[in-house]
Amino acid sequence: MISNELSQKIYNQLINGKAINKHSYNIKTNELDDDQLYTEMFMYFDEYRQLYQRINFDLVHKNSRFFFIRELNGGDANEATIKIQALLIVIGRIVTEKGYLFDVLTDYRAGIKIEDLSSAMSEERYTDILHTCKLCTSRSIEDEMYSHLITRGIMFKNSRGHYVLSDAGTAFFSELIDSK
Amino acid sequence: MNVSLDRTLILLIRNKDLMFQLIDYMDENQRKDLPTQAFYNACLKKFENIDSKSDTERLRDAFALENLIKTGVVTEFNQSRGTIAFQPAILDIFRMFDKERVRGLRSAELENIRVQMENAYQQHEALSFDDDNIAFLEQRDHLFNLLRAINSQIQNNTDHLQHEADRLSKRLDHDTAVLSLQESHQHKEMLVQVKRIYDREIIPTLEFLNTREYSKTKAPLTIIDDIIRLYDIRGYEDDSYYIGQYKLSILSHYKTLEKVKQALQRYLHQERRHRLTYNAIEQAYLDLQAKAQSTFTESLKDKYIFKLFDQETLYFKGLKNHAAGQEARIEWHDRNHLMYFEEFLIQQNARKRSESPSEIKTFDNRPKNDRHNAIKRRIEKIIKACDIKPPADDLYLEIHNLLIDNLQADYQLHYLLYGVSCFKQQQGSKFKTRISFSYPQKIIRYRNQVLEYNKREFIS
Repeated sequence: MISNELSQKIYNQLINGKAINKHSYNIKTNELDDDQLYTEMFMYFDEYRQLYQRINFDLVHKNSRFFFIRELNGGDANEATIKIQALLIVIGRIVTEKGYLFDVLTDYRAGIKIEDLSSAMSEERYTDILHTCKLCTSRSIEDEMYSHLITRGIMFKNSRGHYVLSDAGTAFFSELIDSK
Repeated sequence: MNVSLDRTLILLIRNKDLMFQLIDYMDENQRKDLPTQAFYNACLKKFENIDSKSDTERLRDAFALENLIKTGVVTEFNQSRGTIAFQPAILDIFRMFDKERVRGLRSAELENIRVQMENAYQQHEALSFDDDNIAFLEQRDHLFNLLRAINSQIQNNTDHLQHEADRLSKRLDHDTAVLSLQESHQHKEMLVQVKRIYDREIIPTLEFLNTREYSKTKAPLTIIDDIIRLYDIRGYEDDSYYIGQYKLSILSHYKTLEKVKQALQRYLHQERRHRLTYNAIEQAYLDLQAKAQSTFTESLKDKYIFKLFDQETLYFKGLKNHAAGQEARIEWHDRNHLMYFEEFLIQQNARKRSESPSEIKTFDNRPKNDRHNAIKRRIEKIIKACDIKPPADDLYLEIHNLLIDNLQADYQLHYLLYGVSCFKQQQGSKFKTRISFSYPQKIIRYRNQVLEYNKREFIS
């Protein structure tokens, strides 16, 4: 049976545009744990799907890694989605172009320092792209990453203060690689 | 001073780190010769580290370029290009001292062996097999020398590949947790090295040893079979038996190499995955860059990229925007909401009171003309001369009365604020004022003007 308490927590996250990942990072133990909200949704997926359909949302279970909601009959491509995608591609490019293993971004114990990212992102070729996506025009890259990736559960900060891709972020790159 | 070849070689072997350094330089730069300057630098460095003067002198004589050329250790000295080349056999000796420096056989070297085998076969085919035929005897000797050399080269090659596979797998397995960018860089370099060894050394050697696959050129071992057949037909069974043994010996390395290949397979998958990831991200980045560049026009309307995206291609398509205001309340029914609401109102009122400043509400708020601040200067004097002493219940009221008495017709309510601030400046260091909040605020009315204020007690 659906838990009222978990269902309210799930609603709070989804309605605020946050992805619910299969694993959540525990900063105290520096370990990845199974996310109880994800498990709850996974177990009662049909009920939750119906519930959100009634309030005009489509509950999406992407790549068996994370959940999010999108508005039914949604309009044009929204800016937030494009900003997220652009940020992820630029971050991925910086890591692979410098000859690092991409696994650094997905390993919760590793991650990438903001200094490494911000120094690379200050290059004109990246700022040009980010500016056309209305990113980093008045805010720093750290602020942009916080508001578009961290608060949405696409990345998280580990105990070393490094940025790591969550299940949602990793799934984005997995699909990118599989599609090519 | 000339030093003999054997003495030079002994000194070279004793100081083999110098030769290793030179071999590493050649391998790193993938060249078979060496810049003279690199050779001199390595020698000077070596001499500097030797304490004994006599030893240094001895080495100087032995490693002098003229001596090395004379003894044949250096076979080529190109003055115009400034390069030298060592005798390949001597380099091979030093490579044998250290497995890491044993060079694997590359495609070109394997092809060279194959061509030699084919030539040997053609020579044998054209010859009459007879013990009195000197040409035949020479060719037979040449063939056995060739087979011996091939066997030893393949043996060295197998040892080298096995060593490399062990070394790389140890390093790669050790780095299971790549926690820093530097470590990840090294890990990736090593994977590239695995791929290079696999493509350039393992696969060509396996193809060399493969007798089953047919291509335009005959496989070397098939050529050996043909030679065996020739010897059989011409009645030289003993020789054909020995050639067959050489073939089996060469072929025995196939299994070992297959094992090496399988051991590296795992890392090749990793390397392939990284390559695919790199390609996919690069492609996505180039697409994004192209979209961004298409917005670099004079049109200010199209300076953003958003219209260029197809909704369907977005991975997080339709992800809801932030709506921080929406929040589900937990345990709503268990709370005494009336009590909470009253508490909320009390807090709000308290905040409103503390935040609201003293201000004048009036129908006629035009201040009277006070040329050169004459009235304000009078107020300062009045305040200075006043004898208001603590405790006073309401400082505003006290000063208000004081100013009415002294200014009379010139007094307006907004001079009260100026008077209070003057008073606080003059007396603030000696005495204290305490604000007390009340709701509604205290009010002073004077000539169509109203001042709402929080009462200030004047205390010692």
